[in-house]
Amino acid sequence: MKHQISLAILSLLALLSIPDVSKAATFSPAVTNGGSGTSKAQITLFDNLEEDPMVELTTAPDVAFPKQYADGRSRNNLNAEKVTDGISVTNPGLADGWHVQVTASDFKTTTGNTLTGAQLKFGQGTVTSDTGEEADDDTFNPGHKKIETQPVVASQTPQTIFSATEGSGIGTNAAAYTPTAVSLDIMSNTAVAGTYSADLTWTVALSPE
Amino acid sequence: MKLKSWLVGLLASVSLLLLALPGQAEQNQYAIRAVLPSNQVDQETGYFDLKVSPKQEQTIYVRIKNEAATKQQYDVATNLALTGDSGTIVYNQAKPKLDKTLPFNIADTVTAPKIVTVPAKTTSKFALKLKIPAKPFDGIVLGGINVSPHEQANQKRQAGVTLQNKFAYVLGLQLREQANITVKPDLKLLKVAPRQENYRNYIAAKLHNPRSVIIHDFHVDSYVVKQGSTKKQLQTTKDKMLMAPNSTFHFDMGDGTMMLTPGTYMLHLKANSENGKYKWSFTKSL
Repeated sequence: MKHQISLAILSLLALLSIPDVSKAATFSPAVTNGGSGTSKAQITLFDNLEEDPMVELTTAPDVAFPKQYADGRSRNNLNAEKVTDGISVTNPGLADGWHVQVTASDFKTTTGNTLTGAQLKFGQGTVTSDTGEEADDDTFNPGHKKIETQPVVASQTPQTIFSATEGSGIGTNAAAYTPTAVSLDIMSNTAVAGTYSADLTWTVALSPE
Repeated sequence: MKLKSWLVGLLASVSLLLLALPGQAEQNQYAIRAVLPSNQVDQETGYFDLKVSPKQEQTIYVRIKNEAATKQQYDVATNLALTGDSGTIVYNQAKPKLDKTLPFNIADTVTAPKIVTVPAKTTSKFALKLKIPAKPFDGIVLGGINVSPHEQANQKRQAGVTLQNKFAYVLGLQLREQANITVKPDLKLLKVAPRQENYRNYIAAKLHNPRSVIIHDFHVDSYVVKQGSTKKQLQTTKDKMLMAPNSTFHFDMGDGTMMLTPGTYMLHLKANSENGKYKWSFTKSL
């Protein structure tokens, strides 16, 4: 009898699961008014608990893969079954750009089996921005947009998956992924039946570019 | 009458709010920011860029906003900036191999709490004490202040969950002793050799930035040619990369699936940064 590898990915966040409804209201005023100069100033103007402007990573994609038989055959570009949420970054007015990096741990079972050599891949996401800057070209990097996603083969080395260049990325910026944009490669003869889990760490970096 | 319709409106909005709650369970619950001091070079960046002097001591602050309804703990770690093998600056290595051109490891100049506790629905700040080395340096020294939810031992995993999302932040910490940086970027090709990464085989060019500046908007075009042939193989182009000051990384060529047949090969690698302002060209046999 064939066993199953369960790759069903559920939504999670045990640690950080209490919803917040006040956030959108706090951030929206900084977004639309005027040029970047006005917005930039707010980073020093506000300094109290209620209006302390911070760039925030609000959501990250939850990816579900279909169950697979542990038949020893490799899987290349096994598409996700479902992707819930995208990467969403809210920025109340910091006009210096940001980038989101992702790392992935190994896929392991609780009993210590590893899905050796498995790789999780993100292709291009669809970017939407409050400011419409997703359509603007990045003059410093020909062929790129000011706010864009980059394809990533997730590993333990942080890689930039979503970024806004200097002078862009204020407001709410989101990258959505279709199930066909997220895929998994499994090498042959690596998987015994079991539920394999991996951690995806999504990091917003405010740092020199 | 007027009061009643106001009340109905209020009740309606309250019930909408409750309906909206379940769908937001995925949201992250915290954010951070740098409190920029007066020796910050550019007040418009979101990261620290401090003009410092030898032996200077300074305390800087980072604010953490906990939006959750319960008290939370966060891990804090300041690490040296390195270049990841995908060609981006990374700040996640607690025990980096130091490049011999590096003036000093910025992590050694910082004293900060390892764990910060923030009460529910509160913003707190934590302090980082800097102590700049006595020996002057040119260019910049770069690191990152990492903040992430505190990892608890034996943290319970949900049954059936196979991909667990975690949310983290990093704020750059850049130090300089001159307001205007005159150091120019440089690039060296240290070696080219086969390299295995996640059970896949690549030919990797090990690139080195020996200067104390970032290589911005870094672009590489490369291929190998077998001796006696003109055919370009493993042709690989990558742009929009970054190199940390005084760092190396492996520029992987190919997609990990193609094996080269035995023989002598020549690597051809062209690189430029800042839209062609700086250019480098290398050939090397392997």
